Amino acid sequence: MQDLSNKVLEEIKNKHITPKPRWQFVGRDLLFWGAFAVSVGIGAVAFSAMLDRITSTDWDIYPQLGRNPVNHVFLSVPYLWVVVVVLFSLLAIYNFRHTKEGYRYRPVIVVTTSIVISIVGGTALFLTGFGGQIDERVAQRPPLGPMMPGHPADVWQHPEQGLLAGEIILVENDEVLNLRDLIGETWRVAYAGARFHIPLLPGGRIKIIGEMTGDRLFQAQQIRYWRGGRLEIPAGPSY
Amino acid sequence: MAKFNTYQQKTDEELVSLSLKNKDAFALLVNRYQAKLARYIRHLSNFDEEEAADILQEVFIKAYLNLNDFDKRLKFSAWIYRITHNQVISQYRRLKVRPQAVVAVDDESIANKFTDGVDLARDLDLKYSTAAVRAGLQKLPYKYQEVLVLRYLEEKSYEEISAILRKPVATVGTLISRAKKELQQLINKDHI
Repeated sequence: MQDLSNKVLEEIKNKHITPKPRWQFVGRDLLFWGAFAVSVGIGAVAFSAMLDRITSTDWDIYPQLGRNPVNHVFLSVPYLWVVVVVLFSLLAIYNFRHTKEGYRYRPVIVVTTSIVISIVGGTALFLTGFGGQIDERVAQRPPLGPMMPGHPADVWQHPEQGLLAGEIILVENDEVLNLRDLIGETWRVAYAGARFHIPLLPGGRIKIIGEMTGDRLFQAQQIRYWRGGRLEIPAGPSY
Repeated sequence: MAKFNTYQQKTDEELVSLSLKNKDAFALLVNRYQAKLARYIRHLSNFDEEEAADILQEVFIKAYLNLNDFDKRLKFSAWIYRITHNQVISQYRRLKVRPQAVVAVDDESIANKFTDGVDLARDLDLKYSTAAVRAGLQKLPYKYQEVLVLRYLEEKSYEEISAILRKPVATVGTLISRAKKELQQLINKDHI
């Protein structure tokens, strides 16, 4: 048995083996902690965007879209954000488990903590409006935008189905306003008798549920404020 | 020689620090652990003596290479057992065979350790029970074998097993409890 220590020392000497420097191990550990923090951060941002998308979705307009409620829910879920939240939560767990201390904690505690951090951080970001900004920016990117169902252009640019959205360009009087829609066309909207709880002013962005009554003519029944961003309106003629 | 004698008094953890400056201090760690780790490899695998010796040598080389990774808040023994455990598993992966422990239960006292708290049939005589325990252990899944080996043959604490297997302490407790229950079922199935 004494032989073994000699053999080991001999091999260490012959192969010029030296202990790896401490910074390599510290660096590796820091890398996993950093990756954990980044994963949790991205998870929180994605959660805030998901929250913004969920709260700004009009869950009650399924009849106008010719959908049943279940169908409407499935077609409106922001899958991209759900996938990002799940993916980065898993990454956070993986990175945490690979830190030096990670093995000490039960998986259920690690999973719960990671999810709670994402939810709390994500809700805070959502309340500051950051979630909406992120959702808007991503929705505008060509490869990602189409992956997000319930995009305003898909949902609200259907005048023939009673859904119209855009920017008020002129309030003619208490009964008629002019609106530039999501593809840059101008509509005369009659809103006498329509339900709304917001001031209708030029530059205001709104969503209208109602009925198309003629060529670029629309009768509003309900007018809603367009919360947050995600309303891309092409430039039209100025008035 | 005088230096070597001074080193004899040092703790494992102190020897790790000294080994970074002087290779001879590492030789003392090798001497302290080679017999224990050789036995652990034997319990944890069915490798022949030559293979086991190669693994052991590789374990100490790896330990030396990674000395700076040793966390002084942990026991050195847990750290070197972890390297040994990983080395055995790596060897199995290299050979592309499933790990198989050979849990040597040679006498009644060891058998009693495994069955302590397990409600085995009271009328089994000790000799019979030793053979039954040995047979039952061989049939256990590897994850249970390795945890029982560490607890009852290597006499490691839950904390140490947690560090060796990199599992939470609570999970180690659950594994040990499940392992003993399954062992009881296997023994009952075979002998009652």
